[in-house]
Amino acid sequence: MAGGHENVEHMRLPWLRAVAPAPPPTHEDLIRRVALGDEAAFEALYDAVSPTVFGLVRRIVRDPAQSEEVTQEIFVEVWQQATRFDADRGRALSWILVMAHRRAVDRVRASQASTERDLRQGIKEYQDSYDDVQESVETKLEAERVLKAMESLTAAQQEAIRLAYYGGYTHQEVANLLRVPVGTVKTRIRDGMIRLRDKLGVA
Amino acid sequence: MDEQLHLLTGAYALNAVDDVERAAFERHALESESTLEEVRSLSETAALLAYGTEAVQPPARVKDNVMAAIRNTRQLPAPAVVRDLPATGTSARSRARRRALPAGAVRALAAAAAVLLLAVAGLGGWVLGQAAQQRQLQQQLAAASREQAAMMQIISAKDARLATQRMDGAVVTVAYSGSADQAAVMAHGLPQLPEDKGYELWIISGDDAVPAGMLTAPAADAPRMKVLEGGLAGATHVGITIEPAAGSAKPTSPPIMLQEL
Repeated sequence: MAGGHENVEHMRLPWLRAVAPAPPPTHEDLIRRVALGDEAAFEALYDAVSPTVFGLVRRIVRDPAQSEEVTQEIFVEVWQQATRFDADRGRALSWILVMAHRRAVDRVRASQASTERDLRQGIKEYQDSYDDVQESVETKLEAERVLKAMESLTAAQQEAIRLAYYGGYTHQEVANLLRVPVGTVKTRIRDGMIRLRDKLGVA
Repeated sequence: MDEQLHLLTGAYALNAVDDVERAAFERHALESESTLEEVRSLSETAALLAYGTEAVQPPARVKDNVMAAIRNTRQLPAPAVVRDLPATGTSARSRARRRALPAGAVRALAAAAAVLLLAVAGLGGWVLGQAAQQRQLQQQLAAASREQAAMMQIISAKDARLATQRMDGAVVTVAYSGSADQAAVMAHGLPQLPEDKGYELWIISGDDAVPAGMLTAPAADAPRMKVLEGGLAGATHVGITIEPAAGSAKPTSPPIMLQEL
């Protein structure tokens, strides 16, 4: 039985290939479906990327309750803006993370206006910001690449970039923090980012 | 000042600018190819920094809230208009031709298109970075929209003409070129119409008006831009009327704007 059966299977292989289970949808596939109003696709996308988004938001916003709020806002925005996503312009996750970063930073600055963030504390917190990275499987490679690239920067460049990106500080604030002229910070950030870009092979 | 602004590429890509700086920088960047390119690549680099953070599973209630919220949230319509400033595709030759236009006019047009582009995607950094990406990188630019190409063809034509009209706070610019055989309309500040109404464009020859498409806004208060459907042969005017949202075959109301070609 087995032999004959196998034969049949073999002959049908070209057919079977056509109906073989498709590879899991990419973020880009999902977002295209989201753009058509597909809630199930949105849920799948949420499940896939929310830990990365929430991790970034938590890191910047710090306050857990506010981080949850911001994360909700981000995903509602993803839902609204999905029609605007254009795969030719970059990866879906990057698109989402750019939105997430902007919203997180906006939140931090808004709350800063009332509470006056402790800048000194900021420095301490972000000095070793890469030491506590626990990469999820999904972002492990990317994280390693970023870490490596980051290490190729001067200490001053790393510090400025971390404070700006993960701390949500403006370059002016970073300058105050580090007690260096604004122009110096501007240059450090720019030179550092250019170096990062080249190390990471961003075209 | 420009030199100073140029140095902000890194800070801009990291969102490390305040709103005033952001606005000033975006104005500057959109006029400078090299700055745009740098912003694009640095923005992409900045996005990678997010991968360097520890992933944290959000509490289940966040998902519940999000799923509940989206059921009551309307998605934005897909963008139908120019999304980016054309430019990289612009050959040296057409760039030289562009210079034949009054510099101020081109700048005004570019600025209008820039504002539009930011408004359409409504996503500050990403947009500017990505706009730059399309603008600067040939491979990305290959995907430039047809509308954009048509728009560029008009304003880069040797005989390009720009006419701007101001009316009640609105500014309407008509760009047209006989050799490109096309016209485009850009408008800022046109009043938002009820949902069942729309601004319809017309190519008018004498007393005959041919529908040339609807001038829709990508978002409330966003500038509107449209390359008119149809050639200009024999056309004497471009006009705008208020019509039912689906458009009319013939104007049913007096024009709110009429531009002689």
